[in-house]
Amino acid sequence: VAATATTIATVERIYREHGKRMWRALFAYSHDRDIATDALAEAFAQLLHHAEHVRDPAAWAWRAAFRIAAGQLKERSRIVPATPEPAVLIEETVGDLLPLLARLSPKQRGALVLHYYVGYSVKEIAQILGSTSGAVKVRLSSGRKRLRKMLEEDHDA
Amino acid sequence: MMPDVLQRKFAQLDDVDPPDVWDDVISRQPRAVGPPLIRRSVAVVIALAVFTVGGVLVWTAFQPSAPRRPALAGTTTTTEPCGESTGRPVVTLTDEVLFDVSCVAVRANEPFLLEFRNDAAGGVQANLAIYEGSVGCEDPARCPPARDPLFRGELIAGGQTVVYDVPALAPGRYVVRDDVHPTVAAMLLVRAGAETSDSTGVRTIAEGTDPALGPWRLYVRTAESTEMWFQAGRAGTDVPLLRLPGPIRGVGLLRSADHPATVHGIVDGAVVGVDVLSNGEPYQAKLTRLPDDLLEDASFFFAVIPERQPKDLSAELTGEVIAYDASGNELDRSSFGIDPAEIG
Repeated sequence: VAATATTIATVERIYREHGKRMWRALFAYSHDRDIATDALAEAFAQLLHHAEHVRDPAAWAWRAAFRIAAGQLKERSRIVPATPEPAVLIEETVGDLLPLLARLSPKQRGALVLHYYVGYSVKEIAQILGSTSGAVKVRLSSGRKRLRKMLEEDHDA
Repeated sequence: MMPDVLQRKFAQLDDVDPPDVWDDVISRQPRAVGPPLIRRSVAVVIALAVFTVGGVLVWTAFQPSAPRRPALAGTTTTTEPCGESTGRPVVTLTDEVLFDVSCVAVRANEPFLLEFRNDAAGGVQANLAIYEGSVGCEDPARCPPARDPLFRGELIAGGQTVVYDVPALAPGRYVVRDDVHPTVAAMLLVRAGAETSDSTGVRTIAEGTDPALGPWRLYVRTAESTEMWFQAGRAGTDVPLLRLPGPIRGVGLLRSADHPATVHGIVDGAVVGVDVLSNGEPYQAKLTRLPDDLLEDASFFFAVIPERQPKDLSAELTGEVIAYDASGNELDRSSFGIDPAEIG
């Protein structure tokens, strides 16, 4: 069903409110600007067509965007091994965070980014990533440990 | 590491300048694959249903080697978001190249007129074609979204209208698609007339032939369509599958490789579950509520448990759940594992 002007306006408001933060979270999760950009655009394009039947459009968009990005990451990994963006580019852009995140698993990255950057609760992260609260807690915990270890190693070096 | 340290680390992301993709959002045609629909909790319940009824019913029915019947072979649901058309149904392609309806309904076994209005801007050509959906296909992993059309209407340019004369169709659920824009599709619900439903309200929704069972059919028995039964050729295999408190929404196929049995599961507005006979005794799998977003978008689903599963629930139960939209397009595919502790 075609999106009405009201729907478009509503979705655009949500996009303006969440889009930038969502893109950055997707970028940190996927380490790929193209994936982040496409997942963001596709999620909101789909929201335009589903908005009238969605109770919480913002949450829906977050969930859709991360699942689209996860699907693309999975597809890419089947074709070539994961190749994060060049470290030098990442470092120039956002300091030391992304190179460290690149050494974590995508699931750990997703949980950490959504928790520490976006501020979602464990339950909300589980909904976005299609996982369980227990699994998210495990990934947060293990991701924190690895990050801490890597930071300590960097500091010692 | 203290959490606030991590939060400061992650705040570095605010230095990244994202692109503005709104123009892309507005102009792009969404891909067929949608957002996540199956949640782990649903997968758990579905898998439990399969697991608990494994080895119970229809031992070799629906095996992958079984002959593939016509995909829709009478498969349908009793309630769909399209009302009965009083006149000739009309489908309009909007100027955004979308159908204005998600579903049209016609009567079975009689030719009908289908009006198509192409309101797409720029003289874009389009048509309507009718395909068998994949609701009833045997292997969900290989269900094609469309096969040779049962009917293909002529192309018309934007701004034009045509009335197609469509031949009679058997009862079931079909896909109406614009061949020029194949992602633009709607459901065609061909409802059975009185001649296909007996006086007790029995209505067949799926049927086929199995090498071991002979002819089989899945049917709803009551006028309210709240009971679903399975009937096979051998005596004593006519068993109730489900008794639901509400209307049946869709049909799923639950398959277990460990127990060479397959049962149909049903999704209605609130409940999914299976109710079968086990060794001649009634056995009811636990029912649960489905998440709303699944009900909004998924018309039916399959749960597949491809590996040999433990019978004592001492190890992880694994499998896969696949959701489809009304056109047979795969919406979501989720692997799942069930920790014994979750089963409780």
